[in-house]
Amino acid sequence: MKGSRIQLAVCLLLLAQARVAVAETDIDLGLSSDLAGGTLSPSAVMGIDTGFRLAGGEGRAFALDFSAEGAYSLLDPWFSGSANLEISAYRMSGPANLGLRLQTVAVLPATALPGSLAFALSLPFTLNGPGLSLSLAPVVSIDPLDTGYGSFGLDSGISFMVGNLVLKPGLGFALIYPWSGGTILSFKPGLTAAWYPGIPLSLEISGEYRMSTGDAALPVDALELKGSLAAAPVPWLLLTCLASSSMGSLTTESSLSLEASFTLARKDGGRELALPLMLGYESSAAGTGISLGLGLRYIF
Amino acid sequence: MKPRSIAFLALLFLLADLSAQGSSPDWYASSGLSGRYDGVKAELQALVSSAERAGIPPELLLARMVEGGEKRVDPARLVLVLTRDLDNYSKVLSVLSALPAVQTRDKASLIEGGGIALRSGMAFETFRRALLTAAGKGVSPRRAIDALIAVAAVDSRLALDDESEGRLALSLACSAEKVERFSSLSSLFVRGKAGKIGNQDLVGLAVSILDGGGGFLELEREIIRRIK
Repeated sequence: MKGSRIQLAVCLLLLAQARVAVAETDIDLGLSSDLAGGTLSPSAVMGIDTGFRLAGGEGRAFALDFSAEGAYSLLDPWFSGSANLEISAYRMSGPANLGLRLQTVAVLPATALPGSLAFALSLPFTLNGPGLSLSLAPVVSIDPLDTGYGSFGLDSGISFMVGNLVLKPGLGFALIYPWSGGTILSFKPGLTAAWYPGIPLSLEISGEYRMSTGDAALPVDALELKGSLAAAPVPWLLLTCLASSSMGSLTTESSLSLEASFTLARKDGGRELALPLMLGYESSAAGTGISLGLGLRYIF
Repeated sequence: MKPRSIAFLALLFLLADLSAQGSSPDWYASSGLSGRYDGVKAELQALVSSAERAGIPPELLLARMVEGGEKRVDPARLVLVLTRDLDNYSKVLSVLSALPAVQTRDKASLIEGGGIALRSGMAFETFRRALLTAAGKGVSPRRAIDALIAVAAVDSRLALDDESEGRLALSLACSAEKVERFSSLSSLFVRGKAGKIGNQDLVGLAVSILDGGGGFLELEREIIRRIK
């Protein structure tokens, strides 16, 4: 009860001192098709990404973000989707920043995957210097489904700039209790390098090694590599390339997606209509697939 | 020798010639523009003279002429572009003249920087207001113009509205971030945009962090967090 009152007081304080409110929504509609085995498997895809932000005095901010995406197969009675809700409160002013973040991620069951419903509460703390930033975030998460788990952990990282390069070594650990029994202790050393060369282009490469040990059924070690490239060579074109690979002790998966988003119209207030073209590639134990997509994106 | 090197040498000779002779029509002969641009020589000469009369260092226009010649820009278009440049330089000079802190030796590079911001599509009123407000807060004209150039580079790709440009430029100019890093702003915004963060949200985020004493490192962290 006392905690609720404190939260309410914090919210009222934020609202009372609010000076900037921003709400933006991004809607994607499109058609996509898998080309596995040379046969077309068309599906309708949709996505929404919306958020509301309230900025108060002295860098205080409250944000609510919701995103969801889904795909409906036009040939089989089959639907897949996921949703993400994040509520966060931050103080982003001065050298020491503190936040409180509650995140809910739901993934619908799909072929060979049971689905999940994860809630995570974290308390990110950041110390910022002119060229160095330190962060610590204790995280508690729970997935109440039968296939789920309970866990707590700590993510830590350092960011520093070397010229136009941001280097981010990090280390995380988590103690995971699957409901099926046993315990998993997971360590995640990682390194990310992001390049911001001063032209409308950015490149990020990251690697993370997940070492797991314990007496649960499936403790898995895995090396995850990710890369992303974003570029705006001309005002009406935004290119995005995402690549990832996970090489685990049990499975190896990799994916690559390319998107060219053509801006069709822009209006004041950030409204924008774009035509994204997507090309995707996925490889896993289940097989290899290529997908093509075409859609409309409206931001308002 | 590469064409760019030849053009650079031509510009050096031209500037040396210009400083030795004032702006006599002989500059044209040593500019490397002879031949292709003979038909618009009188217009080019008139532009250089106008620049001198307005107090704008003529080498700024001459450098643009050589750049245009190197790119083999159509003569009529070159005159049009240079006329626009001269207009931009005049506007920038009019704002700089209202600032007490501008040193004569810095004037040419400040005018050139302001010209780059306006040429990138920034509205003059946005430029004027941000520069004067930043100067009123004790920011040096050099830093303020570098911030305006960085924001104009963002605008050239993501089409920010005028109000957002002004807010962002002022926050950047008054921030603790190093000037050498200003150019990374366009890369950071493209990263956020590719992660489906809208323009208004990106500007709000950047202004909030920069006004709070933070820099690009903090902005980068927050952009990546939101993308994830």
